[in-house]
Amino acid sequence: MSTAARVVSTALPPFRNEPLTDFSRREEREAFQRAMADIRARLPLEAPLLIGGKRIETEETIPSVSPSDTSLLCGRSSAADQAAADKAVATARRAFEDWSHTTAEDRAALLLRTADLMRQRRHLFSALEVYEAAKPWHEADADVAEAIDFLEYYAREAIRLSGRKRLQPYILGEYNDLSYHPLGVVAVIGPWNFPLAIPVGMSSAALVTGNTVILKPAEQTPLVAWLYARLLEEAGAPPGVFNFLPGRGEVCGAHLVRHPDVRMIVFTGSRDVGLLIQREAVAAQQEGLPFVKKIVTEMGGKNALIVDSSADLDASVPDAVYSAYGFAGQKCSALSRLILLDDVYDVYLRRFREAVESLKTGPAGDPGTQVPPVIDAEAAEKVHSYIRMGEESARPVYRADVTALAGKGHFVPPAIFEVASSTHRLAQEEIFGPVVAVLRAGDFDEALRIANSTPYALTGGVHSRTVSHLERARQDFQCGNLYLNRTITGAIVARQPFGGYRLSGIGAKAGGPDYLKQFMIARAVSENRMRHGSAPLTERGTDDTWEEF
Amino acid sequence: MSSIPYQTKQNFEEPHPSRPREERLEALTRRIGRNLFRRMRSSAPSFWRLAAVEDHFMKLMMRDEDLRFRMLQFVDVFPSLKDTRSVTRHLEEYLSSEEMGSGTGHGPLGRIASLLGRDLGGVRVITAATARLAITRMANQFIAGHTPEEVAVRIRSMEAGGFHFSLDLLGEFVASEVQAGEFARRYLEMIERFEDLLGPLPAVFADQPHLQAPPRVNISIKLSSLTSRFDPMDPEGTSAAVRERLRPLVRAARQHGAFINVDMEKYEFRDITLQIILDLLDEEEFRGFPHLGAVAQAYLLDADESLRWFLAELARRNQPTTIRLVRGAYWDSEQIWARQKGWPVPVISDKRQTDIMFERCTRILMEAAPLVRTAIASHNVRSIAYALALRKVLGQPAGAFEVQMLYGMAGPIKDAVLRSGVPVRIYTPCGELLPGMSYLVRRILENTSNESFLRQRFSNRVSEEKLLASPHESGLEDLGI
Ligand SMILES: Cc1cc2nc3c(=O)[nH]c(=O)nc-3n(C[C@H](O)[C@H](O)[C@H](O)COP(=O)(O)OP(=O)(O)OC[C@H]3O[C@@H](n4cnc5c(N)ncnc54)[C@H](O)[C@@H]3O)c2cc1C
Repeated sequence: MSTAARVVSTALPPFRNEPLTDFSRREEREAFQRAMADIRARLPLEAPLLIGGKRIETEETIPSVSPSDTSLLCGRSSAADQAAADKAVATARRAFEDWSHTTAEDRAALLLRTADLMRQRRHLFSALEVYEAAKPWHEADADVAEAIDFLEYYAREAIRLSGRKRLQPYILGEYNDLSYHPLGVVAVIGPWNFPLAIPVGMSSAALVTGNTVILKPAEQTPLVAWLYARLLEEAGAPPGVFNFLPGRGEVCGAHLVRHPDVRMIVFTGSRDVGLLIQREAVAAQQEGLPFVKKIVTEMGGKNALIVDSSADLDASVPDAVYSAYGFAGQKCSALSRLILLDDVYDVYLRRFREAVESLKTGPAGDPGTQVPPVIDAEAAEKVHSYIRMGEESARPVYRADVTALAGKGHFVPPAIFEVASSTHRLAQEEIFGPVVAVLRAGDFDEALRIANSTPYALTGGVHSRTVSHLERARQDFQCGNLYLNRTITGAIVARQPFGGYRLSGIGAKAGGPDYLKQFMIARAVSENRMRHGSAPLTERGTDDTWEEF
Repeated sequence: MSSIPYQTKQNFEEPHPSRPREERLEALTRRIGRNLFRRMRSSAPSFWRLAAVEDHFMKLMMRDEDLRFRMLQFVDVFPSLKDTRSVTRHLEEYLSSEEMGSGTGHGPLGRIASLLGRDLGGVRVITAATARLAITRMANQFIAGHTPEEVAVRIRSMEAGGFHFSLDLLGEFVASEVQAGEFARRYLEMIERFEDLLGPLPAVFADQPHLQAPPRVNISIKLSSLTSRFDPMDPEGTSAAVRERLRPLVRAARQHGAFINVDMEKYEFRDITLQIILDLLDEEEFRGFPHLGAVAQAYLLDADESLRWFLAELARRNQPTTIRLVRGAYWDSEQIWARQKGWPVPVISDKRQTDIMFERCTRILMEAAPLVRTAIASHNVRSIAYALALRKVLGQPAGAFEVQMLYGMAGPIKDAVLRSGVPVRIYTPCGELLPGMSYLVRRILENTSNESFLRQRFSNRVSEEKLLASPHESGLEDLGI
């Protein structure tokens, strides 16, 4: 164990969430504005590939354009081809030999150093997100805080799970233990909507458990991910342990998935791509792999909030509005179905509409913006197509007028539709934009039935002050993250482990006590310690024991 | 937007050089305090007599924290329950769940029932009707009426007794521009019309000029109710949006001779609230308008620093106004919000320190006279006595200063202060129970809190000398040492 590592394991304070920036303080606002100016002056940035500690620039590059202002080029990333992907895998595989033999403490120390560096440059990361991902200030700030949380949390988790744990019940003369071991090369394929937190969470989990990583960032947000790659380097990640592979999903992403030396794929993104990865991985299996590819996928949601008759409307309207329209609805946890109980339906819908009418759509850099543009033209077109669908086959309640912003960026209008049936496509399909389908329920049971009527199960919420209804929701509301009397987005590491099931994902909970186990295999060893009737009596129950699986 | 309090770290000159002698001030404070206690006519304000159903409700809440929490949750949901069946159901769900050990006479509901329940064949049960009665009466205790007309009736009789008022329109969170516009419209209507509802000013004031504190119509408003985008992250945008709706109100106040007091809300909103007031007063049209008041909250760790900054800003502009000094109404919430966000808690955690800060701010404020008029908003006799003593020591005239208290609270103290010749203004809420719920819950929390002066005085029966002791004293006597 290195000295740094020993310090880590002995003096690590308990996990504590990184506080969000208090933007009501002038010095924080000014610091943030300085960071924005600082980043702005450095644009466009370049993001090369990073393989085995070497930066490689490719001929083909992918532009990264600000969604708030399409005339602003944030930078360009290199685009890995299949050969580059092969090289990255071979490099990561070689690096695995050593990295897998480091101690959990050493690896945790790497994460903690990275977290420190990120903290120091926190506003720079956020500012780049404002430009590259069109995250409003506080959303960007929350994303960076969550990234820091993942690093801090997984560092502690890795230490907790490390070593041999003697298993109970203790039997004289028999020594049973369990230990966790890394898998190998892990391909991490990240989304653009949490351009830092999610790639950091997935890749740091892989690293700290002793795997080597190839991170393929989303095409829309390679620059934020590149800053993270540089931070890891600075924190001392050995060459080849972490490789950065920007490029087109169809080209290098797909190649990584099929690659016979990629042991595990961790993906967060759309349902279609997630399922495609699943199929591709199975196909690769048929070509005679000596292991079963492990896949962790986090996909979409069609998340519902139920507003009960006894709900506090004053509190639930703003919660619903923020959950649905914050970051223009581009969170997998975002609210897209509002299920209203009959007796509050009219009042609630009116107040909800009035609140949505009051939202300010605008560029992400403006601190007054509540609804930023969506990520790119394709996303905007998808939102528009659902709005058209709603206007044809549902009852339009509201649609903002964003024509004043037209042509500047990928702005789409916040919209609300009433739909008659939960089978309507607006109530079934993930739109990933500021569009809400409103449904009516006769009673609480029906509300739950409607809530459970999609193939997804990610987040859900209930606003109610009826204790028995909250209890029923706990039991019967099908979702990985249920939120009672609050917003349904904004899961916090450790406090609300995040992830869904059904077609929302495989149920791994990021930021929770089970997450790191996804990245490891468990091995059990049983040793007979009895020799001719003599067994070490002292062994009874003295060891480090396994508290919890 | 120029400067915001906590960044201005310059050392401000103490506005008044001649510091009163501390002992004299302390002796005077106690003497005035004793006089105030003597002047209290009745022994306790209504709900401390514990005669009526709502008094029992309050008393139960003082008995244990968990019960208080559950009862408040029930009070909170109550106005949205439409029929007796759902009232009964929620009563049971909140107050007799299994983990609390339900059953007749044992669970919390049982405890309430044994005090206020109705006898049904030998078993006392609390009915929906009893609960409704208790809550309605509790609300009536703190809320003067549902409509301006109803409230005007109350205020007329308050005025006849020599009291002034500040009208508060209930309603808390504004989620849309429609709601914000509606609030602004109602404020405007009150500024323009309320005097007509009241009719002629009673004669008491004509006879006692020292009790006058014009203008007669005084409205308390919350700036966050004037826009749905009240966001301290965006001070410029927020200030512009709020001033858009504030301008017509201030214009009307000038025209009709009314006072607008800007209430202070949660800590996150403090700096921007003060800044908006300054921004408005910086507009040519409103420069020098003396009837736009602000509030300082003494329970904040940086209360004195912020107050000094604000006074300096006013002095720089030679801008007269009245500042209301309160301890602060969001003590419990601030604790919770800060913990959830991992931010430093902005409020003082030791009541005695808040009391010290209150006196320090009283002095800072009163030394800013005559540019700034002081309103001491407190039910704490020691705090009031301190301010009265300080006024004497500083040799300020009676009109330089007023005391404010909340409707439905501390009746005997109000009487006593008034009879000692100081103008008393009563903060008078108007509105329905539903929008008034946050206000009501804050009042219940405040009155049932162990730290409350009123509870110490009227329920715990702490001795007058203790209640009048300087907050600087060690406090060992409280422990019986
Ligand atoms: C006319 C009027 C207007 C008001 N306007 C406002 C306003 O604009 N904004 C606002 O926030 N409030 C306002 N208030 C409410 C006021 O803050 C409370 O009524 C007041 O705090 C009650 O305390 P007290 O001064 O009567 O005395 P006490 O009963 O002696 O003090 C109780 C107060 O002490 C503080 N406290 C309690 N526990 C602790 C502790 N452990 N550590 C430190 N401090 C503690 C709290 O502020 C609590 O309310 C107003 C009150 C009046 C009378």
